[in-house]
Amino acid sequence: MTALRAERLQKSFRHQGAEAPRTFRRWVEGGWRTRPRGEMIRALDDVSLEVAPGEMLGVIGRNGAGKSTLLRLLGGVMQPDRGRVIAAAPVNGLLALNTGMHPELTGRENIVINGVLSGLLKEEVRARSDSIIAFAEMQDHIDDPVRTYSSGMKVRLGFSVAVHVEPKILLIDEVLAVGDLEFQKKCLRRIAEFKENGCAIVLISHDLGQVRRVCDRVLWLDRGAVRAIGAPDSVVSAYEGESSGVANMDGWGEVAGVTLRDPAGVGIETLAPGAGLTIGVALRALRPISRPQVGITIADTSGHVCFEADSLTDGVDMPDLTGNADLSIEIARLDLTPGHYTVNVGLRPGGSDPSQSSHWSACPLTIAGDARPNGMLNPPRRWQVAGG
Amino acid sequence: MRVPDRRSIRHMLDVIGVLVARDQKARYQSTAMGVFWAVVSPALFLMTFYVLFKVMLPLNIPNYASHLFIALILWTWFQTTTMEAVGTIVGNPGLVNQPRFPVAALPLAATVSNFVTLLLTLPLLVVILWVEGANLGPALVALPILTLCQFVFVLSMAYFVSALNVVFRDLQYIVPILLQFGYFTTPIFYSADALPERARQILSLNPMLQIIEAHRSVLIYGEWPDWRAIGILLVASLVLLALTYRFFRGASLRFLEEI
Repeated sequence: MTALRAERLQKSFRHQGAEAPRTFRRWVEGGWRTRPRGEMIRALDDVSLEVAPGEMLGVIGRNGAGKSTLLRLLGGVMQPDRGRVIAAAPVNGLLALNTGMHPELTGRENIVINGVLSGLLKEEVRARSDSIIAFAEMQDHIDDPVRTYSSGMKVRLGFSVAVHVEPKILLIDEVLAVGDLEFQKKCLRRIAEFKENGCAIVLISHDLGQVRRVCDRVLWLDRGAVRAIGAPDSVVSAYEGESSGVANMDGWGEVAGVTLRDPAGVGIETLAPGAGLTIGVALRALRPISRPQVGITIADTSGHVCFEADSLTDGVDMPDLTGNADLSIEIARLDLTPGHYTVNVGLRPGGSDPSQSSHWSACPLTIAGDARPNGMLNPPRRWQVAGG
Repeated sequence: MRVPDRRSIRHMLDVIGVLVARDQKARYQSTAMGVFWAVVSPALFLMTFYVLFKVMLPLNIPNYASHLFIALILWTWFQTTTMEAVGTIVGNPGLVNQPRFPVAALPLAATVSNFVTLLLTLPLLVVILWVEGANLGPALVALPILTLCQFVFVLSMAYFVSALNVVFRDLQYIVPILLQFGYFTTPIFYSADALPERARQILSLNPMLQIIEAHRSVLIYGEWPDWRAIGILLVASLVLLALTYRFFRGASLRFLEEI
């Protein structure tokens, strides 16, 4: 069963560049028959997707990859050139908060305005308004004009209305990054509730850690086309690997592959706590590279680098690279706390600075065990209690 | 075209209600005397023109205050709606981008809201008519039809300018100039009877002239309006509305593509 389906969506825009926006004056001055100039840009090319009830699909990709266009087509506020969107229920958006709110009116009045503009009937908003006010934690200020609110209060109010629409299909665009941390958690819990109740969700986010944590599947859009769709870990890792290499693609060499092995030499993706790890790297030079350097980092899902090793700082004597080469780094113990990580391997020409761009590749790594809320390290330890 | 279900019709009505109430309340609360100003603004125009064309340059139009005030409030409805409608798509990207928001409600709400403002001036109109001894009679029943006629015309212009402003972003500077032109070519402070025959024939094509003249015959002279002119105008306005609404739908969908 599908809640939301997009079939082979295609959408092109006319890029107006510096000429935009068109004006009547320019039209008259340029002659009556001037056609709008600018080349057509394909924003989406043959994009298909399906979201089941209770499923959350993450959409990632660089700026301009077509994420917002996809969301607009799914939301029905824009028509595709080709293809179609089939929704089993009305599609709701959590896109811009506070739309239509008026600063001179009270919070209570604005709840009705915002709720109705988001697709609810007036009586539906009224019936939910106590719950909306409670969720926003605004009981004390709800009858003050919105102009007196702090920006945090406005966000809470807007979000609270938005999550009371009780959607069956929900589109979320980046807004989860607003508000204080406590309130963000509350909103995420609310969205998790929607999911449990069978709401299909499409989430656009640049917070890759969040995408990994909350999404069931991830779609990677690259220049308007689907580059990959699948399990969050593998798609996000592939994306991270490529986007760190974006800066330098002049084709002098690349990290052709990264493999992870346990001490027994078996290829793995999940490592037991406290076990050793061998990272195998396949390098390929497209032109001879004199004394290349290799850097390795292990980062957690929010992008924090927990471990870094570099052939330059480790004083490794790297040979010149003319064709293919294999390299391996043996880490005796990787005492990281259980969780999901990404192993990134970078290659750069000799003599360059470690911070300089290079070619990167990445692969996911999971440390087995129960995740802990805090801390990065999980070294072997022994407790001793004396006295008592 | 999709047939709207009951819920979406109710929702559309709620959206218009909310937008109109927001508009009116915001005006009332920020100036604290919104209703007062709704009346005072045309009253000041009335006084200016009255002094000018009754005392200083007499035009010798009977019931001049009624003649003037009727035209002023009808024209204000048309003018203010058109000016507000120009920016409704371009000025509300958040709403245009919102799934489940009926964008067509924006010009409609502007039309309704300015009609509400017109209603606020009615007590003053009644006073003026009474003071000048207007001949009110059974022809008053024609008023709702005239209002409907103007509503359709004003709404179709609202759809037209808001959509055209997506194509030409400088329309918001051109519209006030065109409205100014319309203001003087519509017999607001003068009388259509005073025009030369040829000018009268040409200016009769102006829908606002027909609407204003019809209101004057009903409200001042107690006579039935020119049904033939009103009938043609209503049909033409409905056709215009259908066309401009289609244009509006296309433009509001295209608006988001202009990046």
